[in-house]
Order: sequence, then C-alpha cells, then structure tokens
Amino acid sequence: MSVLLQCTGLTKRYGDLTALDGVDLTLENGKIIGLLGPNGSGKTTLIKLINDLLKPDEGSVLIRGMTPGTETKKLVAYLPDTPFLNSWMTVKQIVTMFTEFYEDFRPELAYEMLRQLGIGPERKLKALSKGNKEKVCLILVMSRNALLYVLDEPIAGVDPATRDYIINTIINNYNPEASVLISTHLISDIEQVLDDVIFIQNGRITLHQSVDDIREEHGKSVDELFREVFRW
Amino acid sequence: MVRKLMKYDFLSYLRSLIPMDIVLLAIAVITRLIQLTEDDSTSYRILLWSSVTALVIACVVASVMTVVLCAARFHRNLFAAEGYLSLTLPVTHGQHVLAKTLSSVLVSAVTSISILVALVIASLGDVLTEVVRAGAYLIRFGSQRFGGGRFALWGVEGLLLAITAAAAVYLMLYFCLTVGQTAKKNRILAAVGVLFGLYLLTQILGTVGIVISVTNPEIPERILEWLEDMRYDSVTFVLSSMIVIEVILGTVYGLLIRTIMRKKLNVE
Repeated sequence: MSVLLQCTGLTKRYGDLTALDGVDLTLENGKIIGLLGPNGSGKTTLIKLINDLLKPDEGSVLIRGMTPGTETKKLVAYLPDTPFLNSWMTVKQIVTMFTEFYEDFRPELAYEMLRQLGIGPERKLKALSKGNKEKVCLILVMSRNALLYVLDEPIAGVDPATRDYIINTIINNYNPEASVLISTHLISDIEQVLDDVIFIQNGRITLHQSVDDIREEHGKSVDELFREVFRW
Repeated sequence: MVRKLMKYDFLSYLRSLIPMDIVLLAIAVITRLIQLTEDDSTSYRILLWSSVTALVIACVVASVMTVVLCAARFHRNLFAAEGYLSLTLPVTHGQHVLAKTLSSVLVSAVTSISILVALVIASLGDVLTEVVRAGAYLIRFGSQRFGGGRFALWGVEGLLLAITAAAAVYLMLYFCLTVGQTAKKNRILAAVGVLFGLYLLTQILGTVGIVISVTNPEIPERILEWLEDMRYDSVTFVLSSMIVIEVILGTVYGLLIRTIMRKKLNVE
C-alpha cells in the first residue's frame, strides 16, 4: 500500500472559529474510509482543503506528494454536499462535459447506470427529482477511474431506498486500487462497507482505526462507539 | 481547456441571449412595419415614436444585460454552487479567467451585432440608404484625405481598441467580484465597494492630471506640439497607446484575480 493523502498540522480558521486544528492524517490506497463526526466538526472543511476549495492557514495537504491543484484534480473525484451541477444542462451535456474534462471518466459506465435508473440523456437536470439529481451527481463522480473518491455526505437527506442505491453504487464502481473517503454522520447505514474510520471532533482527529480493530478492541460497532464518544 | 470552458460558457449565455435578441429584433421589425403604414395622423406619430423609444430602450437594455449577464456568470460559475464543479475541474485559475474574459468579449460582440442588425431593420428604406451613403462618403473622404492604408490602419486599431477595452472592463468587474469574495460577509456589496473605489481612484488620478496641466501649462503645450509634428501619425500613436494601456490594465487585473484565487480564495 502506498500513501495517497497526507495532511500535516492542517489548520483552518474562519475568523475566530478554528474549524481544523493541526490535523495529521495519512490515507493509503485500496480502502473505504468513513470520516465521521457531528455537524460542525470539520469534515467538510477537511474535504474542501483536499479539493483545493479552501486554503489552509497552517500545515499542508499532499495528494500523491502534490499540493492540491490542477494535477491532483485529475486524481481526485469529489462529490460535494450541495447540488453542484448546472441545472440548465441536460444529462447528456453534463456527461459530455465530464468526458471532455476528465481523462479518467468512463461515459459508457455513466450511461449504463443512468439507463438502469431510467434517466434519459435528454432530460434536463432541473426537471429531475432531488433524489435523482443526487443519484446523477454520484454516478458522474463514481464513473471516474480516480485514485481518491471524496464523498461529502452522500447519503444525507435521501430516502432509505436511495441510500441503499448510493451505497451499492459506491462499492460496485470504485477503482479497487483507489480509496474512498466518505463523510457522514449516518454511520449505521454505511458501517458495513467501511474498512477504516476517522472520528473528527472540534477540528481534531480523535480516532483513526480499522473497523475490525474497533470491534475487537471496544467490543462495539462503529455506530455504538460513535454514539458513546459523541454523546451530549 | 480554455476552448472547452468557453464552449460551456457559450451554452449558458445562449439561454439568455437568444430570447433577448429575439425581443430586440421583434421590436425592430414592428418599428419598420409601423413606418410602412405612414400617414399624417397623430395616432401614427404616437405609435412610431413609441416603437422607436421601445427600440432605443431595448438596445440599451440588451447592452446593460450583456454586461450584467457576464458578471453574474463569472460569480455564479466560480464563487457560488457551480464553483464546486468548475474549481474541481483540472483547469488552472488563469485558464478560467481567460475563458470567461474571451467569452464575455465574444458575447458582447454578438450583442453589438444584434443591435446593429435591429437598427438596420428599423431603418430599412430611405433612412438606411442615407446612412449607407453617408458612411460610404466618410470612408471615401477619409481614404483620399489621409491615404487608404492609413485610414484602414485606424479602422483596425479602432477595432482592436474596442476589443481590448471590453476585455479590460470585464476583467475589472471580475477583479471587483473576486476581491469582494474575500470578504467575510456581504460579498456582492463589497464588490460594489471595490468598483466604487476604483472609480474614485480614476477620478483622483484625473484631477491630479488636470491640476498638473494647469499649474504647468508647458507640459500639455509640449505634448500638443509633439502630436502636431507627427501630423496624421499622431492618431495612430494615440490609438496604439490606448490599446497598450488597456492591455496593461487587463493583464494587471487578470494577474491579480489569478493570484487572489490561487492564494486567498475560499469557496465556502
């Protein structure tokens, strides 16, 4: 296994609020990692720093030894927690756009998944339901043959059936050589697919362990441990 | 990459531009049709002047809307929700800025052509014939008076000046939006503040220039003498200088935008 992502002393502040406080983190390839923490714990900030959408105040992020930029964007497939597609575009236009910009994008895979969902290529994104829009976003991201998939709250705010579809899409389509970093606070739904978990609280990483080790060491599921650690 | 970015910018612009151009051309056609029913009645005059007024307003609205549309597209595509896609594409910030600027200049050219076509349609017949004759006379006169080659050069320089000036104006607007984006809140208001600040700065510089000219009259006199000595080449010199100034201004704005986006900007 080789180092895919390395964060060293990563700090990000929003005015007086410290969103990330000296985070040290190393991720290797070939794993599905859950980034778990309550709302406002710093999950999205960390993900945005990985994707070059935020600039760190201190410390560094390295993806395959490179600071986030044009080259790392070729390696990282990112699903934000907000609708990010141009709603005026048709499904076909957005697939073409991904094909044109990302060398690792697999349009045939995207079209196949869209066909299974019954979403026609000529449909406009704004005409799709919220659930279908989220599925299209996920399909586009998972149709990339990336080295690191970063998914920010992919199962938040969707019905249980859609949640299952999203989880199945993730585990069936990611490049096995790659890693998947999934941020969520809906742990019970995703626990069964995770290899490792990272607990983040008040901008600090409080736990980074494999799911098997957690079960063995604490005698609890990740969900149970999470509820215990983050109890109010 | 710039070409690909421009393609999607154009697809976005066309959604607003096509309806706007259709309305503009429709008003022009209506204005022309009203002219065909010419008579001496008051109702005809009211109808004609109303349609001409509507056409003038439509031309102004189309021009203003184009600038607003381009500024809004820059903001929405890079700093709002669409920024999550745009800024995670494997494209440099400089390429984004270049693509947006070129698209905006081209869109402005399309609007200018639409306005020109609308005016031609509205003035078809005697008015257009007179305008074409006047234009042809001016070109003939200019070519004879100043030489065909020089006159054509001025035309090319004028066109280049229009393009570089449009690019510099868009880059200035983008610069204001980018600086505004670094504010913690009220970012659009902050961008308007930066625009006002730049306007104030140009007014101060202009006033300082006037004060220097008034207190040292030999300076403007020398410049005027120098331009007189150059005769017709002075026009070429002035136009070229203005093009260079616009290019420098545009480059400075572009570099500042790129630097802010690379070092400072947070998409929150």
